[in-house]
Amino acid sequence: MLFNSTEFLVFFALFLAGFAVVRNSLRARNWLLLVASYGFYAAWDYRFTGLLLATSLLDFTLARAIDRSTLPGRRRALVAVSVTINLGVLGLFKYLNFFRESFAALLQAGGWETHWRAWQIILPVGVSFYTFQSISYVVDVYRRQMPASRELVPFLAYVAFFPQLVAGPIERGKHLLPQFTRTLVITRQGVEAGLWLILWGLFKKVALADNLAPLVDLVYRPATTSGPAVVLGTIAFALQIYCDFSGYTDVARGVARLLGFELLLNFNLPYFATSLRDFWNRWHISLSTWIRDYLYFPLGGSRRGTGRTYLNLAVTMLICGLWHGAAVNYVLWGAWHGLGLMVNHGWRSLRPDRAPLPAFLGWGLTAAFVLFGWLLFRAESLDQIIQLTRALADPQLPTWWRPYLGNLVVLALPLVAMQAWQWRTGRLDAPLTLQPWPRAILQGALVVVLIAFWSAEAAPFIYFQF
Amino acid sequence: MKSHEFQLTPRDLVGLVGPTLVVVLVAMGLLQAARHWRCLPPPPLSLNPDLTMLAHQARASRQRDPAEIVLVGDSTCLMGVDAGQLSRELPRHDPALSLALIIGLDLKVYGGVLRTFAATNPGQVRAAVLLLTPQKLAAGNHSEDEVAAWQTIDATMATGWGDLSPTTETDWLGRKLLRENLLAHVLDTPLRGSGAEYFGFSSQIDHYLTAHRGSLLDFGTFALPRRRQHLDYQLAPGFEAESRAFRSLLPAGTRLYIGLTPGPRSAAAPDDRVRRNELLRQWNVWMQADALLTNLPTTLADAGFAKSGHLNGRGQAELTTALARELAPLLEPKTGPPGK
Repeated sequence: MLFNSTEFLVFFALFLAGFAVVRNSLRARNWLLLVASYGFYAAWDYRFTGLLLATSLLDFTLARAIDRSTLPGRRRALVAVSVTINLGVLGLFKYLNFFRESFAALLQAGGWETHWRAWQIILPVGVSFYTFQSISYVVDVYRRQMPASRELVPFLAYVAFFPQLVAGPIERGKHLLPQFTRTLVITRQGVEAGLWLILWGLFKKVALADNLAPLVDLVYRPATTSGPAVVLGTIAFALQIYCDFSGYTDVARGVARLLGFELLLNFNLPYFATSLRDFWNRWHISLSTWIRDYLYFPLGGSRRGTGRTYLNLAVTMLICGLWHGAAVNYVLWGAWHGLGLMVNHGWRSLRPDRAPLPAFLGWGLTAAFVLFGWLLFRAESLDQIIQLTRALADPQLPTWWRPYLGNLVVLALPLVAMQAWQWRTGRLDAPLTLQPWPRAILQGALVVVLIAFWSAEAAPFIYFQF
Repeated sequence: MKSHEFQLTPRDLVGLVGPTLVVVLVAMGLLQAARHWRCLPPPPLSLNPDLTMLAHQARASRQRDPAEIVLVGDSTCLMGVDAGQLSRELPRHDPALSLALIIGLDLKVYGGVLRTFAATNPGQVRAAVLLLTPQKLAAGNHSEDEVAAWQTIDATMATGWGDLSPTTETDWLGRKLLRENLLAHVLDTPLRGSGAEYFGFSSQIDHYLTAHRGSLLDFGTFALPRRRQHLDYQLAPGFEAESRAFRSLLPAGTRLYIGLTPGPRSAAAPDDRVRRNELLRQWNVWMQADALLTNLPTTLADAGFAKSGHLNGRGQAELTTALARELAPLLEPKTGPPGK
């Protein structure tokens, strides 16, 4: 069930009716959330609800055991079991074929013939998100940063919370879990902000991202040989993936807000970043902070000398790339960003007492770096990466560059205008500062365009495949 | 413990949603009023590739143009002959224009478009060249849906107002009006599949057709069929009515030349030329053409095809040259007022 589908609108309307009915019972609310979330997940594929339940039960049990135990060795062993099983599940569904194929390629390079066929493994939707969320909870309990949940239903509802179950934000137990055990307050401001987030998120997905997608497809094909085409197509993809993913997050946060929940901020004007480090503080924040807290810091972060810092940056970004999918282009994308962060770190340590680059120069360099990263990310194979990178050297304009540029400008305009406003005011909720009627005109215009592009066959969100 | 408490009243909710709802309703009302009073711009010609092509030819048939030779036929004619190159290769550089359409339309439509052009440019068309794929003669039928789509487009071009993609769905939200009459003017439609790499957008097809005197090109890649099949040279009895209807629509004073477009060489049989020419002669009983284009090649090298039936740039150039060579002796020099 996609946020941009009529089914979801019906589902959410029914859920709200139920939510109003259970207002006097926290227990009933959590049961309602649990049933609705599992129903929401079963709409994708009911077979994987068992997997979701099993990993949740395991982490609930292990976290309680960790919490109760005072023996460091036992606690360490228990957390290791949890992490191993969670990563095992992820590895089984997501990476097994990739590693088999890579191993086979290695054997072939060594002269051993293999005739292994790829196994047909279906990837459970959202597995990368809820697995990471579950791991962070167990680790936080292990680190004594939060107590283990004593009640099962709130915990299960926390892991499966339908607004953010399939594509995040990747929540932390200490942030979201307590919200399941207290009375929520639904305010006028909360509903106002929630409705705006839902509207703007759906607009970004349905009106912008879905119309950018065919522009991207036009360029990311085997016959593309024009450099300007690759540049335009990659800019289109940068906008598409942002509108698609941040659109999903906005709807998730908006839906949660309507229910009185607060989810983590996932995007903070990432394309305004003036350095790569800044970009990662603004892009997919819930993943970048997860990787920082549960991978980069445990590896030593920047506290174990220069060489180790570079190594840690490279390893964490490689894993970040691999988290997106078991494919060489994601690994290269991760490596590219790792390299960029190493250069960024090196530059800062070489010039600690000097002013950073002028903002405009920093923005331009970061944008160019991130854009090439998106080329690696969007390409479907190593061959396509090579083909498109080679094409960059060909300055010939494609025959269709005028309408392409026209479409790109038209689709980018609402986003750029909104973000310039948010950036200038320093408020992501800048539209909420408008007087009621100007805001109604803005919202009405968005609704009208949204209705025009609303499709009976909703296009899936890009990040669902991860 | 309570689940949640509301710190907002129903009045707050109305205040939050009401003004936006009012704006939406006003916008929809305005759209419906604009539809009623026909004050919305008509949809651009970039809704989809086929509609774009048909709309271009319908529009071209109503424009003043110096063409004396008009090509009509199915998509193998549209993609197979470059009207500009044809003019250049004819000894007197007689101006040519392609008004070829698609295979799903019947010969009456082909004749109609020719007649419309002749009515817009009276006494000017000296020669009509009708080129079809042999498959069209063998099938002898047409698609009612495509004919209906053509009629809608043709009527739209005739009146300057209409709906290029009619639907039975009630558009009370004004979605279609918004998408097609307003947003399509600022957002071009990207193409998918064959031709997308070159044209990119359907509007580019329109520009290409204008720049190439109504001729188009298929950029697909020829794939050898798994099962080798010979070219089919048969005449369906049902084709008679269409053929005679076309003949009756031929403008007075216009000579008619008919021919068949070539197939890929991998599908050739030794007696293709004999069978093709015999088919032309049979068909001509109904068509009463001034000459049969029997020297056009029956086949071209597979490398000249984009996909079966449609030629690529190489094949198009080759067929156009062959057509120019065949037409040259047939085209009489202009000696008096045309059409006399």
